[in-house]
Amino acid sequence: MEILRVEDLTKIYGKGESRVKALDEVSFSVEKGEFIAIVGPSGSGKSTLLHMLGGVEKPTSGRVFVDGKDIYEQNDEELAVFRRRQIGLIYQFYNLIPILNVKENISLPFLMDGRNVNESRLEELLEVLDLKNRQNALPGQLSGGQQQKVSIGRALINAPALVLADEPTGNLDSKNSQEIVELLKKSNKEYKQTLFLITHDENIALQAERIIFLDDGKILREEVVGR
Amino acid sequence: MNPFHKIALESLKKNKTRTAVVITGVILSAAMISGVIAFASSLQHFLVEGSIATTGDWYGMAEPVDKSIKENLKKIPEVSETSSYQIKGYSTLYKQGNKYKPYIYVTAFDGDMYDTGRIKMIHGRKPKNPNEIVIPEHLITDGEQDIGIGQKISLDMGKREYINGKKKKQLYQNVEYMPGKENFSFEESRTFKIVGICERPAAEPYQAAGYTAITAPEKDGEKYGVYIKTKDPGDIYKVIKNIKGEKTEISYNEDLLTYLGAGKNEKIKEMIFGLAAFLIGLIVLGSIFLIHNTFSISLSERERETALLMAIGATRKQLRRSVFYEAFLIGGIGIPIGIIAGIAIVGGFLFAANNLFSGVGNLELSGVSMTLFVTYKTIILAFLVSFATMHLSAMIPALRASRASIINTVRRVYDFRISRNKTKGYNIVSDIFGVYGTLAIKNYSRNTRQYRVTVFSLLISIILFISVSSYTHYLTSSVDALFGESEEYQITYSYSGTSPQKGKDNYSILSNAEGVTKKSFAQVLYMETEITADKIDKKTLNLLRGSGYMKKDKAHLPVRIFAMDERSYKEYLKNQGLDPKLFTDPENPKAVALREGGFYDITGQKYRKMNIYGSEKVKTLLVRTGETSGIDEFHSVSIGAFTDEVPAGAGEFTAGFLMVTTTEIAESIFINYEKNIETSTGFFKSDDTKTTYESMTEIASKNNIPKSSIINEEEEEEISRSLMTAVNIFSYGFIVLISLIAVANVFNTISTNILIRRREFAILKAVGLSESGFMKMMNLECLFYGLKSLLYGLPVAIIIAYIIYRNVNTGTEIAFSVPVYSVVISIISIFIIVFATMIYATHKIGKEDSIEVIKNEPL
Repeated sequence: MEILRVEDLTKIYGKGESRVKALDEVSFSVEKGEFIAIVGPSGSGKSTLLHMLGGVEKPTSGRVFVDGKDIYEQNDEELAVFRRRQIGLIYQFYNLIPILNVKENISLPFLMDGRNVNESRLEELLEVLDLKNRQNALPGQLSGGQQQKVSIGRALINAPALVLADEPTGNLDSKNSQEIVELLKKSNKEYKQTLFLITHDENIALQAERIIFLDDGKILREEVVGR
Repeated sequence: MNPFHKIALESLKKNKTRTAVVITGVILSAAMISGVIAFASSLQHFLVEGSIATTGDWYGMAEPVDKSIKENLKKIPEVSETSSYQIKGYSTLYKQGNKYKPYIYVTAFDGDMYDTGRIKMIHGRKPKNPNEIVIPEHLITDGEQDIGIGQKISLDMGKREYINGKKKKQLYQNVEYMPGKENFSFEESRTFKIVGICERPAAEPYQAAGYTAITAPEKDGEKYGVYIKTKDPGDIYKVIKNIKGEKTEISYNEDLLTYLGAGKNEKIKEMIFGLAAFLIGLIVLGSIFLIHNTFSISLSERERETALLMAIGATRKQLRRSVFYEAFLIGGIGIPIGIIAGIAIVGGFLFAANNLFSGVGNLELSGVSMTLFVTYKTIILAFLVSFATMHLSAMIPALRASRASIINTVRRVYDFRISRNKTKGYNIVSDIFGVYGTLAIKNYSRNTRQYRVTVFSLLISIILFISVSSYTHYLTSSVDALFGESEEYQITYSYSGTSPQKGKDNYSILSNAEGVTKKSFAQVLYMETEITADKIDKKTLNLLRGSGYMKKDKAHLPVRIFAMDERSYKEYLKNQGLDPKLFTDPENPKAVALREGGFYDITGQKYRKMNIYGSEKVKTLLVRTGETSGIDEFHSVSIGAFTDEVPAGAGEFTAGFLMVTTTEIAESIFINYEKNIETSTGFFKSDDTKTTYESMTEIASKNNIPKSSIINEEEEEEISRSLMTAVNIFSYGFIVLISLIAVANVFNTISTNILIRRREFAILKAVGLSESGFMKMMNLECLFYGLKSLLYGLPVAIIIAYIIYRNVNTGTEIAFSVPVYSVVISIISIFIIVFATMIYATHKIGKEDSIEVIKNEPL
């Protein structure tokens, strides 16, 4: 079942001399539950693409359909709610709100909705992420790996349509990196989360089902990878 | 739990210093807003109550009106209160006293009218029947009628009529006495028994032709006078207009209406309400600046957090609300404290002004003191204005935060997105200060918004400080100019009646008061001189023409003759180094002329100086002394000497050209000397002014001399100077508070700007920047801040000082001067503020380990 379809997505920044075409008529589609790695050199448009899939940055032209719906037909308020409920976003750095503890950071999408978090789901995630003993700790009291786990928990709490991770292991050592990737793979396999992961690490990319190669804002090629 | 509220609260707790600074700023702001409102409210209340005490509690009056109109007044929906009196008519006086007030105006008051007219009984009682009468005190003292309680007086009653051809118009108290243009038409004689004496009725107009006497009303009167109050003061004009008949005269209690905000005196309205609105506007602007700036800083520190929240689904509305919530928390603490503080400060100030500044005088109007007057409306207004200020301050940062591009913020693009021309160094800076100067000037230029805020805050402080200093300087100078040097005499007695001899006699009686060490007597006549246009310079000629002094080609200028008693005149001459014999020779009488006189420029609304004697070769002045059978009489007054020093009591600077001589010589020169005397004045010196004044007023009351004619000049001057001191304290207090807001702003901006660049500084230190090099760089940055703010601030401040100089109506001609001492204080203060802030911030980051900073703060 198609969960995502991108049609001629283009993004242009700046004007005149400083005009940059970050994405150039990118088109592709994704089935539900796929694990896709996006690779490419710096400035190839990977982050831009990711943010457009998540409804964070509006395209100059082109369309993004999530679950059959053109997400950019929504206004800003509707897009924010869409992100809250349908997208899970994980960054390389600064993923967490420093003054909220682990539980609160994970529950943030629910809290923004003004709803109480699903406690059983929260407990389950804390268990899976091995954060049960640290649920009241503040981000400053956690290691880098633990912080990223919290951000994964936040991304998954709502069981979103897409999980978008922008170099989630870029700031971690190899052991923690692998642990994070395993958790993401687990969410992909067990919860059927459709997962997009930007990475420079070839090993991590090869763990995906499909690799999309970007350069100069265009899709160079796509590769299907065996699991 | 609302995560945004928690984030806002924790942010405030985390940055204790900045939170304390902004709360202090809010307290200051709310205190000043509530202070100004409380002061304006107290002032208005004071003026209203004082006005009521002076002229009565009414808005409009009309006389004469018919009985039917009087009785229907209460049916008019806009009317709240009325009181009335029966008009009995005028009566001529037994003997002539005040030539401008030759009548008694007999009225019959109902009960309410005594209250409306603020009638205060001094002796005796109110009349019980129409054959009894109460007379006003000033009928005896000013009108010089020898009558008293128990006496029966027979009054020839009638009416005043103005006749213009065939037209006749009856005149009442609103029309002053017009000798030669009005008649008295006798109607009947009536006898009254005097049963009481009252103070001058507050409602009697000053120009009234008759002294208001009060009898009891008869059952039915023919004509009435009515005093009306309306529910809304502004409605009085409509109500009076509707009841006004063809022959009715009307007047309004304009002062009271103005103080209530309904009058037509735009100048006073502008002064009170306009000034209050202006001050509040200024405070609000400064406060918005500070609070807005603090929020901007707070949000810019949290911009990645904000971007993350938006990325994971926070709506813009939620983010804006979070900012407003932060504002609410700060305001919730600061505003109530500020409002209470502001009201308390004004209360304290008024208490001090009433009790401490002047030993004898209070801020008083007809016995009403100015005290703190605050209602729930005042507090609500102060709260609303403060709250609106907070809200407006948070609005722009909130909008900006919610509109930021998520992706750019997440990538921290802004820090690197600096346009080329903004990092242009200045070769001269590099040549003089080297690499540290280059770094300083480039840093200084890069973050336009923040640096603009800092410079603007400093600018505002400079402008305010210098402008207000100038304003109070000119105000003080005008007081000095009008008062001149300390008068030699502390108490004066003035007589303006028709019998100058009586003035002299009263002076002699009062001279016996306890503690009088020196005395002097003078009579003042106002004459006129004519100067041909060809003897006057063009500029002065135009001013004279514009002020109505020119008739055909001659300037008719007033000459004031100050005729002293001989002993005092001789002393004055000796002090000038002049031989008294030359000036007091009756065969060849000479006067002393003040070298410079002046005239009142109506257009410019100030006194202008003028010399009419040219090169002082002029030895006589042609003075118009009167007229005989319609023909002007002139006398050539011989001038023995010119001087710059006026005799004590003659006043420092007034319109006219002063000549000083003795009463005997003046009498010999001028026709109808006694008739031309305007005032006779006694001057008394004492070592214990208070005792002498009390003794003198006691003597006055025993000898039918009005107490109001004796003035304690020392006290008057002290009150004015005390008021000036109070104005100065108020003004400077205001500047200090506004400046504190600006200082807080500067502190916030500079310190935060330094703190957020900690990683940059850490990298510079890591690549080899020494501690001294770092300090040099920061010092230069501070220097640029200070210089830029002074570069713009000083010229603007001096221009504003000049505008103030041109617009402040001091009533006198004072030269413009650049307020040098305020400029110097501004320069020193600016650099102290900037450098102190920098030292605080750099001290804070100096404790950090550079490597840790580089490691922990990702780019």
